[in-house]
Amino acid sequence: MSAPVDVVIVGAGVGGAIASTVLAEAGLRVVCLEQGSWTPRERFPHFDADWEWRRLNDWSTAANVRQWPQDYPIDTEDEVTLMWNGVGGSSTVYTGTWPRFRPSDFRKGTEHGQQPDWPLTYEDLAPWYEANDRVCGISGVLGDPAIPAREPFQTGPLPPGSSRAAMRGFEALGWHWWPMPNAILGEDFDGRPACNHCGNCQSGCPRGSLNSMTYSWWPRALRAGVELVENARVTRIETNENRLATDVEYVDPATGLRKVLAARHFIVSANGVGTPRLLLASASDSFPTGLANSSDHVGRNLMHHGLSIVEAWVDEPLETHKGFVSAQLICEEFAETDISRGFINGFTLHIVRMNGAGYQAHGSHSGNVAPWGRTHHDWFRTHFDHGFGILCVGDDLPLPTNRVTLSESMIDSDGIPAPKITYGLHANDAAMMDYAVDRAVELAQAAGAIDIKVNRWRNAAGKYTPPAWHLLGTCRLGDDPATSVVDQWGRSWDVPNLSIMDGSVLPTGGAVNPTSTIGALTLRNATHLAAELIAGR
Amino acid sequence: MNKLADLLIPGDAAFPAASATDAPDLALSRLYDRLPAEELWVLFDDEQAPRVKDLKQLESELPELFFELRFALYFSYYEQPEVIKALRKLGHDYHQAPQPLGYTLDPFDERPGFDLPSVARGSYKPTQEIERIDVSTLPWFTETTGE
Repeated sequence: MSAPVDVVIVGAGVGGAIASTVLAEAGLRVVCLEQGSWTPRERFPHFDADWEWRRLNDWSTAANVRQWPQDYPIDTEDEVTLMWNGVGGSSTVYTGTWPRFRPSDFRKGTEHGQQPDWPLTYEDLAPWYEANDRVCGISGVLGDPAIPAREPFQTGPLPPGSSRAAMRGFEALGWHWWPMPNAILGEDFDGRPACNHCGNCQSGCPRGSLNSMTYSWWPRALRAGVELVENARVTRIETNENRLATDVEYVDPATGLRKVLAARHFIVSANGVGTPRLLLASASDSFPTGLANSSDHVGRNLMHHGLSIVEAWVDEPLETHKGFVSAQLICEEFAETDISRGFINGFTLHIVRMNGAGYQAHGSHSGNVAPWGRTHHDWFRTHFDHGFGILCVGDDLPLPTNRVTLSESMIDSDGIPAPKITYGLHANDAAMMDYAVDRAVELAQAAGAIDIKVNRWRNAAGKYTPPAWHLLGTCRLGDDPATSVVDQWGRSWDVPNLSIMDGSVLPTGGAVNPTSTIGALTLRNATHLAAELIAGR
Repeated sequence: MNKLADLLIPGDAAFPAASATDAPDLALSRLYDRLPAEELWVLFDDEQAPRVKDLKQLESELPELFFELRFALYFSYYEQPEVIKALRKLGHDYHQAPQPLGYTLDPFDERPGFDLPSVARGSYKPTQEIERIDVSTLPWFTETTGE
């Protein structure tokens, strides 16, 4: 075994990219192990006629559908778990939707006690949001009164295109709405070109207009000297008698053999499913219930956001196949708790597009499928490019029963138990989503919809089985070792030289997409860790 | 497969029938990728050509297989060059693939009432103003899950 490096990071996604950069730029020797690889530009489906088919098959964001060699199976019937295993992580194929949490998202313990307070405030995180944005390149418009003021965006906003019909509805109802901040360039920025509105963000962006970590943080990390090992799947983290992590075992991509890499400090950034899976798989005599799991909170409190979507079709062409897919507008009218609505917490409404002709004919996001037979084309003429989506995104409660454990029946290609995911909506959150759908239908009607379709993501048995893109809460941070896995800096309470930097540390999920918050928190915590490790040399 | 495809997507004055394109063959190859061959044989009866009522029966009795058939055919059809051409003739600015051309959209108009609200609305609770809310009116909260 070679001499220990300063830091080993498991996972090259959002958390791994940012942490790698910060620590290497501080002068530390950093090795990042990534179970996948870079996704070369020519592999993206955007240049081929079968781009829509591929998005739902071999290029699917669902690992269980895609089944690439670097993917691991996910044992669940409760959801469709979405993730991307490769350099850049899920930022490789996400929509780049970039809102920030609200101050109250950090204070739910104070507000009602059904979620914990964060051990930091919005104000603590605000400068880190800004610093991360300056690297990623965010488009938007200042002046939204529904969120705290912020520094200027890096580029101007993207054209709203098809969302102009929804604007009409918002105006008629007198609800809040505003252009959504997006990690998609409205203008050229930092050597990357502005978006050309191709409409296939959900398969990633081969141009570099949409911020993947491979376009923003990773080039900087490599310049700083980070050693990135691709196709290296970490199988476990070992500890010693002093309850310190000593090394990671991973499968060597060149030989298929298991290798060991020692370090002074370890960071796990494998997302809200992969991180608890690795910690649980690293159980030992010293840590019989899993590494860093004395609280029994590793894997628990899984959050995805409550989701429903309402799609509306109007009697005018909207060119909904053009432009960035999600989201053009955000409505935060219902984002704060108002107990008179019959639930705590809140939700946001996002105006989204419907992709291409095949997807629209096959029901788009809501399942409004064009009829087969003689009326097929009549339906297509009145619906294609005439619709928009209203995505309802609710703050789901962190339930201990919503969790990631190790599967007893599935293993990956290296013999590691697959994650088993158990997830369901709390009654509060189900009530919230019902209310949200009613509001979205109201908006569709106010926009002049001639056809409306609701998708509550319930299966034939009525069970909520959502697409699960936001993987949050399973190693949450806190100020009490009994109810959290890591402290406010992401450092394990149980294993002092182990940190976690990804979505799993978020104690609450807010009512918006989490990537900007994961990035800001990682930047803050990695900066703090770098100072500690340098001081401790 | 051509006959089956035409029952699902017949042509009209603007659009070609599915069988006038390569969609049936493409859909069939995709079905073979997704389903075991023995399941697919249900779709094809050598004795007689498929009829609308057969397809309706398939839709009601084997909905999962019907879903797969429709899924493969709809996506295969709408990527065919003849269909893209028909879309363009109807006035849609539509490419067969999103890149490299992308699309042109009208630029963002920052004037209030255009691409920004006519009146800026909305608010948030600042950190220091967040106060305890009484949740006792909600039936499902009998204990706290964290604070």
